[in-house]
Amino acid sequence: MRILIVDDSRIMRNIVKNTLKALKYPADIFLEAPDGDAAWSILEAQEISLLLVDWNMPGLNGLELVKKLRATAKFQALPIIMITSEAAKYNVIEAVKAGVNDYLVKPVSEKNLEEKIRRVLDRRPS
Amino acid sequence: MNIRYILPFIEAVEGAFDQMFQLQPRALTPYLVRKEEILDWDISGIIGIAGEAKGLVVLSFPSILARDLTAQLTGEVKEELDDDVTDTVGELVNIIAGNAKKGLEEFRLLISLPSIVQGHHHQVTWPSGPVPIITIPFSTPRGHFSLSVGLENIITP
Amino acid sequence: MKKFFKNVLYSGIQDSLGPEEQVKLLFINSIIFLGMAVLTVFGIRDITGGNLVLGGVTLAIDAIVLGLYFTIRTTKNYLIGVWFLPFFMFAFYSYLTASGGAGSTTVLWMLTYPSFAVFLAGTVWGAVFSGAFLLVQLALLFVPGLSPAWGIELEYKLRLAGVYAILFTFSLAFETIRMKAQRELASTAAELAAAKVQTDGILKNVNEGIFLLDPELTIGDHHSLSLAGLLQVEAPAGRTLPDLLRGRIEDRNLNACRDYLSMFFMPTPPWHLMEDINPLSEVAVATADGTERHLTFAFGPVELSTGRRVLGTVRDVTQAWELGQKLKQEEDRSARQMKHLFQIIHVKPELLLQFLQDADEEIAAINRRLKDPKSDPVTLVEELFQGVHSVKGNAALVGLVSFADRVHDLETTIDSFRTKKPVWQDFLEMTVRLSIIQAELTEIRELLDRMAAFQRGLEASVGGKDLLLLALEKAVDRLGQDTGLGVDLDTSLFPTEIVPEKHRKLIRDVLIQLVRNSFAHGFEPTSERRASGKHTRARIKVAVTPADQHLTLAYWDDGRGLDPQRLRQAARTLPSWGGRDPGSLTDAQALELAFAPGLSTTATPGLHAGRGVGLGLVKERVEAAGGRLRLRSVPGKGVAFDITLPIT
Repeated sequence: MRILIVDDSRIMRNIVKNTLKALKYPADIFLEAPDGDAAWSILEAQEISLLLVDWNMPGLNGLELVKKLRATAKFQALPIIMITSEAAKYNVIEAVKAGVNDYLVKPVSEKNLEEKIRRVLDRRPS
Repeated sequence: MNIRYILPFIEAVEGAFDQMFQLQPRALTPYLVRKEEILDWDISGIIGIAGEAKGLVVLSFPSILARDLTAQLTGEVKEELDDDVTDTVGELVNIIAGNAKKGLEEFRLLISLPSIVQGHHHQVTWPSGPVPIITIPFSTPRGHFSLSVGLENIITP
Repeated sequence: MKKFFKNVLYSGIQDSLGPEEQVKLLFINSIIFLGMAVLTVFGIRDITGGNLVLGGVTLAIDAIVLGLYFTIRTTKNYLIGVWFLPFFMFAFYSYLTASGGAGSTTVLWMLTYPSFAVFLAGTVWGAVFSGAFLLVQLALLFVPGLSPAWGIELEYKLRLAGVYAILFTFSLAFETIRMKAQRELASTAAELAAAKVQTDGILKNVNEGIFLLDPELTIGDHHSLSLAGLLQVEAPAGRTLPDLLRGRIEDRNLNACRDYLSMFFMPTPPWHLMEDINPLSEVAVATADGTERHLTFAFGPVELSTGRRVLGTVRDVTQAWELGQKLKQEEDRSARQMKHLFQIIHVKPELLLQFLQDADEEIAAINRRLKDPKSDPVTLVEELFQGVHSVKGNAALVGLVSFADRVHDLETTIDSFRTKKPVWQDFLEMTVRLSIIQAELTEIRELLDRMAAFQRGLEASVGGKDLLLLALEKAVDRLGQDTGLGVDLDTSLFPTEIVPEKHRKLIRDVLIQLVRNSFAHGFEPTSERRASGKHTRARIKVAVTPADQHLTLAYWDDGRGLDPQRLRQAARTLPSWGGRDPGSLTDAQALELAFAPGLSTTATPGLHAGRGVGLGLVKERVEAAGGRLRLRSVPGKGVAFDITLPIT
């Protein structure tokens, strides 16, 4: 299992990592990327089980990355959770329209993250 | 009260004067007003504001300017504040309110239909409680008028 | 033209008939016209062919049929046709059969009888008619010599009978089935009508707007009546929801709404998110008269036989929203006032008033400069800065810390304009923020005014005195009024500050009880007092002296005191007395009887005393608090109580 965390803020990435560690996910399964392009490279090169992505990033932002992924056959079934500070409903709707499986608003609580990951991953046939 | 609630009104005033009278009013230094103060204008249009902030916007004119503007539209010289003058002021305030409305929507502010108050030294009933009130004086080649804003934030930014 | 034909065919009475009756009448009239045509043709043929009898009868029948038509028309009763025709045709066909002769083809007419009879008269009567008719025809055909029809070939006759039987059965079956189908249809229609009445009733009266959306987001034809009012649209049906909301809600909400609703029609919508991301869960909608309404929409998927739809409901929550806003405003204001209050109570009052005055003057001075058209921007900014800086400093000195912080923010803003040349909008910014500071100062002042008013009210009612003494004085006043006795209370030796908090209530209660006691038993009427040389006004004196570990209270009145003899007499009334001789008690012991529960020296208990519980209870409470109560008395002079209470 590999989880890719994408956020331009190193602090934010650490927070998410720590939350996941507290949920007993082993540390060696985390991969990180500071923007959409880097994330894309990682996704192409490795088998990623779950993508946690922020919205606002320089270059290829989170929303655009999601759209790009969903337009590619290989990534159409990739579980994606967007973790962002954009809280307005019309933002969430846009993200869902782009194809995210679920959506979290910062700051993220352990409970919420766990719940959403479980739900997103459980829905996979494997 | 926030400057962004006021700017749409300034633009609307400038636009309306230009559109209706081909006048370009110049905004002078704004100053503070106390609730109890009696405004010494002759005729005012009052627009209610509700939503994120609550209060009033008041456009006040001296008789001489109001009559002068009416004369420009009707072609008749007005000796007193008659119905034509009230209508002109009302129309002007309506246009200003209408133009300001668009700019206020994104702040979730709504404005009411304006009402006209006249009489020398009339007093405006500001909302209860301590409300910040400022007045922006405008000058035109044909007279002065003022825009007063008293707003209290409901949603404290 | 069409109307004319309709009138002729329905005999002009189509409106008063039900659908089935209309059909029957149409049938009757068709038979009449067709029959007339046929009869006329055959009649004329027969006559020109030489068969005058047959022809004559045929034409006579023709006339009768015509007469029937007009009878129905004039009487407006189609039932005449229903019953007349079977009988009539019975007779006419029988005649045709009988008159036919060996090569008769007219006998074929009998085959049409069952259909007519059953259709016109129903299955039961139709069967009766048809059965009777068959018997008659069979007689005519098979009974030798009865009619010329007997001469017809046997094979032919048998087949006639057979075909008749088949047609007869078929007609009955057909009519039965048709009637049954008709009945079922009618009952289904009635059920649907009843159901529709109920659903219509619901949709007409429900307060919520209820509607269905198809994949194009078009509102279905059937929606609740209130939907029109809620959306302020006369005919919402057939229009799309986004269309109806366009221009009345924020654009980005409109787009979000469209996207959101489309999600319902996706193959696998994200159900776990749908509830949370409803952009119309509470939305402000502009109305035609410029006001604003708050509506709440809820959406859910439904599967109909015609496919998936979205069921939408909408409610008007404007009032609730407005209330919420008011509450929030009140809360905010209360929160602000609380903050102010906390700050203010740490400030010395005279300093605060001075500060407010100074700040007012400072701001008024700034305002004068703002109003002055001759001020130039650079000096104006400088003056603004100095003034605001001064207010900030004073606020901080006086202790209004968070207020000073806010003024500091304004000062920083003004400072940033000192270095650049400020434009008009910068002045607007400064003035707006200054007006907010001024409003806050007003708020503080109003708060102070309210507090001052409260304080004044408090002082006026209490006169600045201690509550304990106040209670005593009140008690003496009231009892004096009730009993008509004039009594003076001397509290000069009662410095209440030395009474510790824990004993205050007890002391108050005790003293009041003693006062009551004095009024009830102690004080003689004024005349008596004068007679015995006392002051006309009675006196009560209370004193308190501290000692190391005790507090000593003294209560003294100049009434008639306690008489040991009377106490001895009253002793017999005690429930617990037993049979002892009260004469054996010493004076001191007799005095102690005053504390015995149940003892009363007055015959009738009054409002204030006499129930024999007061003094005993007092002693109990004092002792329970670790103290002692002693009584001294000189009969005729007065009574004194000494109370000691521990103060460690």
